Amino acid sequence: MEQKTPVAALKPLNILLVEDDEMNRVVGQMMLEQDGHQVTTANDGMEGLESVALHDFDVVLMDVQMPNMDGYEATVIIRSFEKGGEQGGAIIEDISDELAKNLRTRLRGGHLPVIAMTANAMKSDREKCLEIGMDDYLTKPFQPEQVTHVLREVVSGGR
Amino acid sequence: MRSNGFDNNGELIDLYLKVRSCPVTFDQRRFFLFSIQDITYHQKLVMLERVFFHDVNNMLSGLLGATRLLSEDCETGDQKLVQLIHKTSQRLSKEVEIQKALSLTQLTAYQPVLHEITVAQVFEEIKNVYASHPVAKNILLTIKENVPDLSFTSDFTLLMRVLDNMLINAIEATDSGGEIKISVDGANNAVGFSVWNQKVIPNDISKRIFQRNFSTKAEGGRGLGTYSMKMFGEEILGGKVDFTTSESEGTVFCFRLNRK
Repeated sequence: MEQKTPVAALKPLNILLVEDDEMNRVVGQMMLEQDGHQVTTANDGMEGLESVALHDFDVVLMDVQMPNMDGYEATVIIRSFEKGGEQGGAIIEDISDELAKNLRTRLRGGHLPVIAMTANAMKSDREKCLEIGMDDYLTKPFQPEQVTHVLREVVSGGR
Repeated sequence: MRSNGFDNNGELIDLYLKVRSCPVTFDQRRFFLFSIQDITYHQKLVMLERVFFHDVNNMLSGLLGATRLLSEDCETGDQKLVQLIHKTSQRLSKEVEIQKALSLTQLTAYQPVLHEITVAQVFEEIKNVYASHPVAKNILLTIKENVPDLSFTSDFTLLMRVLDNMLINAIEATDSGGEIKISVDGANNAVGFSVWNQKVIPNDISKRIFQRNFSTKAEGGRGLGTYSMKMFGEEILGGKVDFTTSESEGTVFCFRLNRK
């Protein structure tokens, strides 16, 4: 029995969706666009960082387990550059000088909300998401209403 | 505690060891009782299970989203089929959620999702599932719908899991051409679902029927059907699961739930 809880519409957002699974990426984009949001997609953490370096987003929906660079690493790098890029250690050394320069310019002094999307629903996984600086998390599989709710909480600064 | 060892091919592998100790006094002398247990195999199973649930949930996420989008926007002729696929995906998703809660942590980790349910909804679901179910082929399923409007509060998915287990057991015990009867009563401010079949459960089996790993199947099942119906029905849903069996009356499994 599907229980649909009415959720009030959210103002259109500029969202970066970072997801390696093609079906989840396509479906996620369609659902978000159906709600009036503008969506840019990336296939992994590194592609996500490249998008963040070039565009302003209201929020990032970030898959956790991805090849090349996972969602944890990408978030640590984002948080590091928000503080100027002096922290982050070995992870930051993995990215090019030009990408680092663009990230520093775009992110310094701000806070880009990052929502984890994880298929691991263990308490330890959720704690790790919040510990490394993600703002909230969604556990797969999720309902569109849950996405709207978390987006609203995060962009309004509720969390 | 993690250590290193070698597998059968001489390759270096991680060993997981559980180390425990406690002080004991014996003959006025103090000792430390010390044990080391190799739990490498168990840890491997836990990791494999985590990977399995991760991958299944990842796929379900896409499947649920895609079927939801399709069901909102497709031709009338295809809509019924798409909605059926979406509904099945949702059921599968709930089954995985319950199994995950039971497997990796403990029983109490699953939080029932309570809704107002009517008897008619339950019977509708049973008809949908068993109309085309391969195990129910050549079995007559009779549903006595005497109180369709009776409503109660419960977790629909778990309730169906209890009733599914009762039905599957009854069907598997019934010969081709035989009959299964499902009925409901609303006595004593409760709702009671009963599943009847003609076969008698032998005395030695009936005493152990709700034990874990005990199977009612002649060829050996996993022994989880009767165990889980008791566990879900009583420990999570707070009802009472029981059965009677006799030569004259056959076997009746019953699930009773107080109406809140």
